[in-house]
Amino acid sequence: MLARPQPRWLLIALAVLALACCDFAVVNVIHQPRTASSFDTQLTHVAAKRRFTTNGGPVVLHRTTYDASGGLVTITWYDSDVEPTGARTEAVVSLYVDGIRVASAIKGSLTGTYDDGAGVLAWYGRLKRGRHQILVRLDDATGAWGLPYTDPERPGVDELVIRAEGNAS
Amino acid sequence: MSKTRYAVILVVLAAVSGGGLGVGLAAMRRHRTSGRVYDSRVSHAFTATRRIGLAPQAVDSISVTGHGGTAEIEWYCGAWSSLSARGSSAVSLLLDGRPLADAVLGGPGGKWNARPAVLRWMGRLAPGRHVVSVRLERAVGVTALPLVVDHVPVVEGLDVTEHAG
Repeated sequence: MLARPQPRWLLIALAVLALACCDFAVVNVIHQPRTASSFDTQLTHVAAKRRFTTNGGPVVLHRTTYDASGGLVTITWYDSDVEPTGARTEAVVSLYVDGIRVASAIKGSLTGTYDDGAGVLAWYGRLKRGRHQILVRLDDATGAWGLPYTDPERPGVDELVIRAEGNAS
Repeated sequence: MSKTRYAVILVVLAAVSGGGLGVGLAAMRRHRTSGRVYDSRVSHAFTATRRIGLAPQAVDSISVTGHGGTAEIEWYCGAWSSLSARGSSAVSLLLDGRPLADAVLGGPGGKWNARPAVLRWMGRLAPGRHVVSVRLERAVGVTALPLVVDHVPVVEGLDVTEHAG
């Protein structure tokens, strides 16, 4: 019996097809743009009264190391009730990124305790890929401030949220 | 080349082709169906108080491209204050000139009533170009947007995040 011919072109054609398919897979799996998202948060529930002054220097509220994937970032500090205790006072809370003060929030008070309210500080920026030091500090305050004010058995919250997501539109 | 070896090579090449095609198509499909997030923002760090004496007055704006998704629009100011005793003001968030949300500041103490401000809206963002803006609508007395003390950087900005797909 004669052996059937083994066409070389079929081998070559299949090899080329296999390479093309592998390339197609690599391009779609590796090189497709994706939305990069990351989320980091530091939450402090405060059950007991917590009051700060800056008589002894600035007071650190949050300190964390954030591992950025590179790109747009929103950093938010939130306190459920920033409470002044004296009349005609003010407090400055600042956000530091890698030691640089990038944003501050200012709250004033005419009468004292009854001028309390939620505190928020936001910064929209871009962080390079890698680790970054994030710090939120009560930098300057006249008198004592509740951060946050709390009622007995009703804990307040003081939080730092770092959110990175999206592609610029 | 033996017949068996030839057949094995053919089968392997066919399997590699099929596998590659399958993986590539699956990745394409996943990409098409997975959600995408679009983020646009404008942010200004002030080291001196910006005084606004007359209303209405533009405070900030940003152009964005909508993709038919759900957008979260946030305006932030680190210290919103009236510089006049018993002063007050109202700030509006607008999409293509249409008011979305409003915030009001008032108080007897002028700069002693300074506070950080957030104005937030969520809703559908139609496909196409849009302008998101913030306007001081009404004011009694001079308004600080933002108030700055001791040259600390105080941020005023807009952030538009759209979840689409």
